Amino acid sequence: MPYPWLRLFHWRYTPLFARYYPLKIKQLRQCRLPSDENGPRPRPAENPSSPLRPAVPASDKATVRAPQLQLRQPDRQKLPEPPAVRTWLKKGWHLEIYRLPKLGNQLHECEDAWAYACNHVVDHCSNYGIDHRRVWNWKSTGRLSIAISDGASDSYASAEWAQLLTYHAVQDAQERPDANLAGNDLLSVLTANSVSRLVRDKLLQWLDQQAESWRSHQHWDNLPWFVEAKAEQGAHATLLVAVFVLSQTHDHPVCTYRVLTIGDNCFFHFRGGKQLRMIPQMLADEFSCSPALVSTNCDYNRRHINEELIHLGHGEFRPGDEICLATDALSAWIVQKLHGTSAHRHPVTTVFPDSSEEIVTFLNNLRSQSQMKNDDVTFVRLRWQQGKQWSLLPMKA
Amino acid sequence: MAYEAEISRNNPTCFLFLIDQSGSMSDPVGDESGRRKADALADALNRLLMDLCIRCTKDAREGVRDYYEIGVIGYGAQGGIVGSALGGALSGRELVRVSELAASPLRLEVRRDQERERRFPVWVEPVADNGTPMCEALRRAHAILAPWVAAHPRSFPPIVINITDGQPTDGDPENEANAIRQLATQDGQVLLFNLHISETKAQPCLYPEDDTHLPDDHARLLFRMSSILPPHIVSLAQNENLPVTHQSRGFVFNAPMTEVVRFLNIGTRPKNLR
Repeated sequence: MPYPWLRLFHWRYTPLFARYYPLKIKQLRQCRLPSDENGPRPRPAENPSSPLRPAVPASDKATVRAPQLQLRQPDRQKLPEPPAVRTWLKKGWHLEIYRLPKLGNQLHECEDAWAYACNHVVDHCSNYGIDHRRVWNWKSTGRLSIAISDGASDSYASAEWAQLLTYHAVQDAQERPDANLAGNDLLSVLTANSVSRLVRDKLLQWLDQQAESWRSHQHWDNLPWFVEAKAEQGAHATLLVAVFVLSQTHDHPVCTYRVLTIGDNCFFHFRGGKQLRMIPQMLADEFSCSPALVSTNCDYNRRHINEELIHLGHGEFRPGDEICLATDALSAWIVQKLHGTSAHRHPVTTVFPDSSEEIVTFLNNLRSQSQMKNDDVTFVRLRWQQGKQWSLLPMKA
Repeated sequence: MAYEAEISRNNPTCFLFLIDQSGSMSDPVGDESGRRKADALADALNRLLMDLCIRCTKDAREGVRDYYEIGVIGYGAQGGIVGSALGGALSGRELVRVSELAASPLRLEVRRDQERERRFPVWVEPVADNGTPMCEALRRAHAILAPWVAAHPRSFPPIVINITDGQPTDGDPENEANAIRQLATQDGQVLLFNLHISETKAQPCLYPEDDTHLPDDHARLLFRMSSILPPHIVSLAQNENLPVTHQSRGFVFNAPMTEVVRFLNIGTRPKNLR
């Protein structure tokens, strides 16, 4: 270059580029996904990001001081706070997950849990803070499973139970049903057309396996009398699992979903801004009752979980649709808002803001103003975006 | 609305038990067990305290969360002394945090329960001696709760449960009871419930709305001393198929121990525990 000082005026050195370029690279990395063009990815033998570590061997028990269940919290301070910039929602599936503790509590005290799995790769709440976003640009067949769980506040180690439930639920829901095999118990329940005695028994068998896993991670020796008594009562939580199966036809992608829910977590399907489906169907005042819970106590499950408390649903997820999963406090607010509007327009599409910070602020304000019960909140929103749409969307990992 | 406050570690609530330790408590209860009323009451109270400790236990890492402050005041024993009925490390303490209660029982008894041995803590010993200084006990309760409500203005109001089997011997306790019920937090007035244990098989009177069907003046006195049940306790009682309405008072008369135990469980179950 004849005049080197002209480089200062190159477009790469302008403030706009300096601000936009790192965010663009991050956005492109988010859109990149494991493709199925080379065949299905082999299932990892042990997912290294499991929230649960194996129990300590008997020889090491003398040195054990605390249970092995540990919640990994991300070091948020290492991540720079990205500015909110105008960008566009790329075509594809946009997943947003928010997990907020009760007002006045810390995040590690939150007893809600979420997990999702895409093509056998599981991710869960222990790896993130209060929010998480993910974008997929589907090019071929795929399977997405999402689960949320709300641990009962007055039960023992309910947060760990909720995390274990969601993790294994999304993992087991990734299995493809094979005509020659019965499939795992959870998949049998999800693919059932109605809730029968057999379906209930399959679900109880799956819960027994999870309860055994939970018990294997507890330490039962030398506990104070009150901890021992509490642990014997077991942990309790609600559970909602949704599986989305995308298949590509000649003309357009087709996605069907199946939902299993026990308790008062709700699944909402919106199309054109209006509610298409709610699973389970609940009225606003029904959220104040004691919900159905799944427990680590197998006798409790057999006594309390009957066919009426298990809810199954299915539907078709189309471009432009919006799916929401919410725990009880937010579900009650949504139902109350929906009931109050004559046009039945979904409050999430008309009231909820787009950016993460605004949604977190919005949810906190609902609780501080007593419009919503001060409870842990988990909110999952899955949108099938068609084409480009401008939005104020901070790009976060 | 009143009685809606969240119970949390920053805003705990308080349970204060006033237990009759007079000489008449050595009489047997009205059932076939042959146990003394003092033994049955001490056992019921120890089980309730155990349930409160377990309810507040979170996990092995965190232990017990201090959602409650608990006091047990006995009246009548040792020449009519009114004072803490807790023993051991908690001796003399009129209000203790639930974590302190869990950590310091008087002893742990190993009992067989549902085909396995379990540890049962004991905090209160059965005592039956002397008269029934109920007025002094209520004055002591007022002295304990007045600074407590001042220090916890946003908490769920304290609940005082007075368990007795007879009439007071130191005067008319109605004024002292009204003074307690005048204490309040921002969420409502202090609740005073009265449980009368019977040694006969007379018809019990449970949660009345008025005193028209009460048998005598003593029952009508205890009725006037009792607070109206808050909505969440009404809901819990109705779920247990108890004959309660929103005008019912927290008062049982001539009640068997089973009804006393049931009321203790319902009356101490929280609405909003965080």
